[in-house]
Amino acid sequence: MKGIMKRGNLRQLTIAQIVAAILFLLLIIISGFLIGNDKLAIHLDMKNTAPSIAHPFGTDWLGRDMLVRTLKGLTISLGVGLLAAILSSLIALAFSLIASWNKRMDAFITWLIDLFLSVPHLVLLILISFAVGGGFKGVVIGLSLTHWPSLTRLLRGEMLQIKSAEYVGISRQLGKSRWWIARHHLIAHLLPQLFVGMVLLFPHAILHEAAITFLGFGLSTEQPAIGIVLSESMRYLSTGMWWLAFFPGLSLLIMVGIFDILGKNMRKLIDPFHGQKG
Amino acid sequence: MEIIGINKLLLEVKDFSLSFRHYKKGLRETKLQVVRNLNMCIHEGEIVAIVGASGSGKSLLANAILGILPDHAVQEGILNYKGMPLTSERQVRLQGKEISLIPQSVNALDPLMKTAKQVQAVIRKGDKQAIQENIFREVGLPIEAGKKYPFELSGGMARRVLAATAMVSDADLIIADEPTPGLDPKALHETVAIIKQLATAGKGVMFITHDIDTALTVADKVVVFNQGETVETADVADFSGHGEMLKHPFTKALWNALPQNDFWGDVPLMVEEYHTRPLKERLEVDKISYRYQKGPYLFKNLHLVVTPGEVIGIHGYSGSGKTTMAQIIAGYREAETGNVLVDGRTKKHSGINPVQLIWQHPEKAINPRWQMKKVLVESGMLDKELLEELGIKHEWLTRYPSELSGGELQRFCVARALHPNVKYIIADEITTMLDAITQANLWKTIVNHARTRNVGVLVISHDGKLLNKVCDRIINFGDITNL
Repeated sequence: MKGIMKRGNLRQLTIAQIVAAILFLLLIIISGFLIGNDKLAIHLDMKNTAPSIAHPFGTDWLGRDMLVRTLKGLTISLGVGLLAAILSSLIALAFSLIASWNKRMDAFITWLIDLFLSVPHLVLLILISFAVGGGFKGVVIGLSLTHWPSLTRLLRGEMLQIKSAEYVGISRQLGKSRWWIARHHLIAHLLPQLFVGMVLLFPHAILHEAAITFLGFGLSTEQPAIGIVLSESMRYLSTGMWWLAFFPGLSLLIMVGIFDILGKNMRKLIDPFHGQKG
Repeated sequence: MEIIGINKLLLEVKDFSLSFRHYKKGLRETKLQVVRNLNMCIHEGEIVAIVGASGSGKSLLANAILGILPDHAVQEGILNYKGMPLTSERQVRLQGKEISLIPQSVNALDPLMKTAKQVQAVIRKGDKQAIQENIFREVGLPIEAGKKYPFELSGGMARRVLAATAMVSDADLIIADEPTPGLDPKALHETVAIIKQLATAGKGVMFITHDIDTALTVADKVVVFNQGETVETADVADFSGHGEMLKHPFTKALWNALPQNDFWGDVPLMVEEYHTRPLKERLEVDKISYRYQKGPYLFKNLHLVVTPGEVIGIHGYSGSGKTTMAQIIAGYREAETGNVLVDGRTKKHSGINPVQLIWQHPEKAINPRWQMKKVLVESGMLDKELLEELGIKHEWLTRYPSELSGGELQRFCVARALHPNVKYIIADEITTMLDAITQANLWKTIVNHARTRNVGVLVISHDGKLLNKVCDRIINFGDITNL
């Protein structure tokens, strides 16, 4: 740690980590877009080969290159997970601010949270994504409309605490509007929690996406989402084709890990209490 | 040095310095030195008072000894406890066992735990409840206070709970970080007696305070700090008259700024004719009553009038409801019955409330996530002249509240309340936590503004000497509660 500290101070280090994480994620997305459908084509003469230099991740039972499939799958899953996590946390933020308005609004939001939490996630998810037409759009809408309640509850609690702080009362007496107080006092306080909540939502969203895709209500099977790749490979795992599950699984793990690093470092930058630790 | 007494050296601080890492602009990291060349020592059975202006590094020294500095602090120099250096591992071992703290802020109490439990948690052996009740009696707390949560106690009572917590632990060195402000004279007397008791029992006490008055009644030795340096180590007897026996000019200034000495200094006070104004312009508290849920009434049909330009003092025992009254007048709470009339009207204001309350604890009145600049922007008070008058330094504007002392923060709160649209100011124990020089400065500014701009001021304080000095008339709170 000492060697690194000498080369740059903590804030430089933090920004370097954030940039590295974003670059890595961009790399995955760009490579995913560059891969056309021809690369995903079936080569029955090459089926079930172990990892080699030509095919670092091996090939599957239809001779498709697993590296290409993994990258494409990560891009799709990243898109779905990211969109759903962002939308969910935006909903959570909006609802927690609405709950701060008055007692009746608070009761309504609390009731809404309880309502959504009392219905099983997956059932609601299937219902919503089926109702809006399925596919990529259906999955994203379904995920974002079902993943906000627990984060909202957390943010609402934080918000109630900060709302009763003396300095918020003073702000009100200084003639600041509700909107001003929400923007400068509440949101500034909620932002770190929001980021952490988003990072935690992300893997959750990806796994649920994989789950409903597996059940046939989500993405179509020709789209190599990471959930589909993994569930397909399960059937071949017992025949010794470990690479089918190992490499895509590891890639998913690494991507989620990068997200975690990203979230923690952003928190260091935003939150003055964490930003200056040595 | 070693010959001084049979008593062993407990704590030794030599050439101690402390700085904070922080970011000026973007990526540039700078070090900000806040304490340097600090020297002092404490023997067993000795009470050493550390006196200094707010922001002089008193509390930082205490935190360094306890090992609870913020993570971006860097310390140098020698800190010895019982002849051995205080390493961070040793600090963790000694915290609460051999070294114990009576903290400054009442925020240190757990808001979700009843006070009796909090005190009992520190006791290691014996009948916990009996010991706790005993110590409550000693510090003058009713036994029922143990069944309450910290937010149900007044500032003075909460402070006594903190003192009780440190007293029940069997530490050798007790660091009392401002244990006395906010106490009414009777409670102050009791606390001082308890601290003296601790010293007679052979414990070393480091008594950090801004209040020379109390320091002189408690301590054997007085160490004076200014701007992070030891200015003088003086004997108690040296503080007398106009401070001729004191060596350093700063010590003299501190002594002379006391309300009973030469409080106003050479700043002339502006005297205005305020009673010739039309009677309609006044703050009238019209028969308000209040109680907490089904509890007993704090006050009934309380009536009070403040005219513009007038400075009124209110004193009373801690826990009697003065702060609650202040919060009702300033619009933070609703009274059960009665109204607060500003210039004859119940206030339905848009924009800034013409009645502003300055709170007792500035650290709670400022958003801890904001740089100080934003606090001033929020209230629209960026007037350079006023900031200078209050002694707010330019470099403070880029700091966070945790990097400023209570006295420095309170200046921002005063600046905020001196908005041109404010007609009445309620000051609830605002200088109780501050040193004599800052106290004198703040009051000079407030009273001057009150006189020149016809602002009515309601001063709530335990300090009779201060009230005598700044107020036109003084009201005993017990006389107006109608109970």
